[in-house]
Amino acid sequence: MSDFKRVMFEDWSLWIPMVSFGIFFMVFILISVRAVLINKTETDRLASLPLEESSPETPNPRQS
Amino acid sequence: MTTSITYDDKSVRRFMIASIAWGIIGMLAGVFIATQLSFWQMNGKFLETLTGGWIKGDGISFLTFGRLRPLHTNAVIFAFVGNMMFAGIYYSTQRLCKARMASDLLSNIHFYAWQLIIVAAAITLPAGLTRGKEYAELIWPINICVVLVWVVFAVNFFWTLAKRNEPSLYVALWFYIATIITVAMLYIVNHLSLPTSFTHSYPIFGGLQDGLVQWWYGHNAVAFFLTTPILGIMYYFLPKAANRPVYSYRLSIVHFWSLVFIYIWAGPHHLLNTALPHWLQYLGMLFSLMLWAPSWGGMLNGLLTLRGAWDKLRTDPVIKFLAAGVTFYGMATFEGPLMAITKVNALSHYTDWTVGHVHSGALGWNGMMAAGMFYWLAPRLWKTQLWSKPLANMHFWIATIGILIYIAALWCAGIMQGLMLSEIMPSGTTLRYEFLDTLKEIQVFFIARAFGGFLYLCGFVMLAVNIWKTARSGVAVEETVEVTLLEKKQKDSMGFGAAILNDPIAHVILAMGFVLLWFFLPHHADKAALLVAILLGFKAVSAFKASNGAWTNWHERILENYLPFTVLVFAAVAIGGSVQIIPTIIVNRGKNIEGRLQELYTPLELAGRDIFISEGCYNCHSQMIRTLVPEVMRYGRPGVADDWSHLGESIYDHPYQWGSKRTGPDLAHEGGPIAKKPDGTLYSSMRVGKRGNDWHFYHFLDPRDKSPGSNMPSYWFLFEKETDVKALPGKIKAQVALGVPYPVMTDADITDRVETQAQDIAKSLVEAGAYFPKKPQLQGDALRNHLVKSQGVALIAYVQKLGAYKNVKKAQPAEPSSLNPDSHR
Repeated sequence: MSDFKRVMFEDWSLWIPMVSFGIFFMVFILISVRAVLINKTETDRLASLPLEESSPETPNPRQS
Repeated sequence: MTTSITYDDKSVRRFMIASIAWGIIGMLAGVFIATQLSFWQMNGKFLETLTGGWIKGDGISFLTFGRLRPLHTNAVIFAFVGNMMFAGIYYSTQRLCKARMASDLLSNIHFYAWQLIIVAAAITLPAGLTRGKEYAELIWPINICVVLVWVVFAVNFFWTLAKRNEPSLYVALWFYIATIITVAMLYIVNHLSLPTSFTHSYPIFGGLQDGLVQWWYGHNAVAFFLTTPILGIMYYFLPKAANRPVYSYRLSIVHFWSLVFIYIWAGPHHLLNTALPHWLQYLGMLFSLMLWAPSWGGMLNGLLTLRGAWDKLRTDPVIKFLAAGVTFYGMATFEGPLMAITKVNALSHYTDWTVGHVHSGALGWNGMMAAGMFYWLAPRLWKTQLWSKPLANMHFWIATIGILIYIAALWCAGIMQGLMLSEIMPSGTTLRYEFLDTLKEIQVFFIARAFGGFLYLCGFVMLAVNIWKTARSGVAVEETVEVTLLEKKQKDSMGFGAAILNDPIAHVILAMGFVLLWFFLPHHADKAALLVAILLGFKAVSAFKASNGAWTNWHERILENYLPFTVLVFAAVAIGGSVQIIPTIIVNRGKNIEGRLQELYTPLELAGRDIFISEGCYNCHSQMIRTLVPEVMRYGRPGVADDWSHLGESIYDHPYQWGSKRTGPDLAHEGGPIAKKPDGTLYSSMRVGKRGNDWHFYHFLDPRDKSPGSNMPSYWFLFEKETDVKALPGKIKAQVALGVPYPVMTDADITDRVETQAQDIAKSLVEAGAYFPKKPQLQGDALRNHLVKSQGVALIAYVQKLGAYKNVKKAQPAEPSSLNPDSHR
């Protein structure tokens, strides 16, 4: 274990990009899995939220 | 139970109108400064012709490129896109939350205070009041106002989320949350300053640290001010305009989290090939390349939302603008990572290619999305029809052609100049072209660029006319809707802990974090971390059993709980920022100097530096010789080995001045050693570098006198204005507080040193036969007495100091040692 940790410590800064990439990759995989497994009915409902019209359009006072 | 809600559309209208007005001003400023690059007379001389000689001057201080370029960038970013973003957020947030904005008072404060900030910027920037950092130029009192207004906006936004009548948070709201949180974090950190007066301050970071913080901010200002809010707008307005849901909600989830997580890491790609530590350069490049995936995922999600509605492209100007905007987003986000590849960056950086890239984003992505949104909003906000579809279509084509001319011209200019600057003669020992040769070659592209920008401006004026006519033909209304009120338990019923801590996956992630700690923690603490990791593993198993075999549903839950969602977003952006900034800040400065330690500026040189910053010289002149052979050949000093810009040479620079664009040559090593008097003894502090004092004197008066073909403004007025010597004690005190090791000096000492150095420089100018055309009657001692107090002399002192350093013994290579890891602690 000591030798392994020594490798980690020496030139630690060179490891940062790889560790960073590893962290990102983990987050990416997790999110992708969640996105794939999410309930389709729920995603359809969420996707249509902007299209919901809550009430008839407010009339133009000048035209009414 | 239902209730009637009237949306606050007044604020939307206000922000939209403000965006259009400021957009025209910002673009006009852009076209104006574009002409200055081709015609130096546009820096003030043109007024002589326009006013029939009533106004005289080869250059007018508040019209010079260096002062107006920040006005252009700030106006476009914070005034045009800022107000557009607020209009879109206010409109869509209310509809997506089915609630009126929480507080009309806060909305009003937000609108009026933001406009006042812009007015303050429009006054202070041309006046030369600046912090000297790109897109972070505004002086500290305005910075505080920006933060306060942002807090007002954030409170209003989150309060509205809390009052919402829709349990779930739509993806657009996620992007808005990310914007609000991250911009606050970036803005505050990059604007930390120590004031020396009401209008001046020094950033608390210096040199390399300041550069890193600046581009952590600068890059992410693009990401979280110009991109994420507009993506939110895309996810709301594109489905509305196409009348169909977003192509893939699942893709939007991956798009959001990947983008938010990656973007923040990529800042160091602005400092590639410099003396920046290599691990940071790799980090910047790696994460920039990774940005390709989420950016294109978002673009495709936007474009494919138009599936089945492509025919509308022929007839609907809104769809045209939105589709073009999303396409430009894809193009710009393809080009950005490409330019972050180290070898490509060696060619592109400091050239107009970067400027072209930025404008394909600003004009193509932000501008087109703004136009699409405005054309969609105006008929709805005034309950009428768009006044003229043909005019909107005309706008679209003139804007598209304008952008294409603009970016194509700057691609050509940038690549040509980059290649010319790095071209070496076959002998291999000399460069083929002088800097001015390259500048002359790209003039035709500068003119094409100004024309492209002018076309784009014309298109935007058409939009203004169209929206104004539309508004005139309708009546401003507030939309009223019937909504079903939510019960309290239907939203935000869960705290952050409850959202995460009962989740098997969350336990697994925490366990992995403790495994990482096991690697890094000291003896015994590492064993404790390992033990915690094992316990968390058991907890994950028990949580899995308790949830009846469901691995996780925390993501679904936080979508209905905005506070945990916001905390998670903050964590995502804070991780990347911390990895970049913290190691560089905590590393002792002494380890970053690379054998060269910057010589401290004398009081007069410090005053000259503040003038350099105030005039915005950093907009055209970098102070960073990259670790590239042609750059060292061009800008290095004869007889000095490895003469690229070592980190120690600018370690005391508050702010750093490495720059991002070279319209003129790099100045990092322009200065030189202490000059010798005719009798062979040394001056006390006067230096002479690559060029003499008289060369700089005449160059500032009329750059074309010494550099034929130069497009630099004339700075004759610097020899009319006096240096603010009284402010220097306070400034030096502030520098000391920031860690610059000035010796103890009384006010009288400082004044004496300024006087001595200024007298030496002024005397050298007079002895060289200096002639000041604005005051031809001044000669001999009269001229010397005039010059000695002038800002021009202080600026000469500063330029002659650039690159001065003392050698410091480098750390010796490590000796072979035993393999005990504890010896490193």
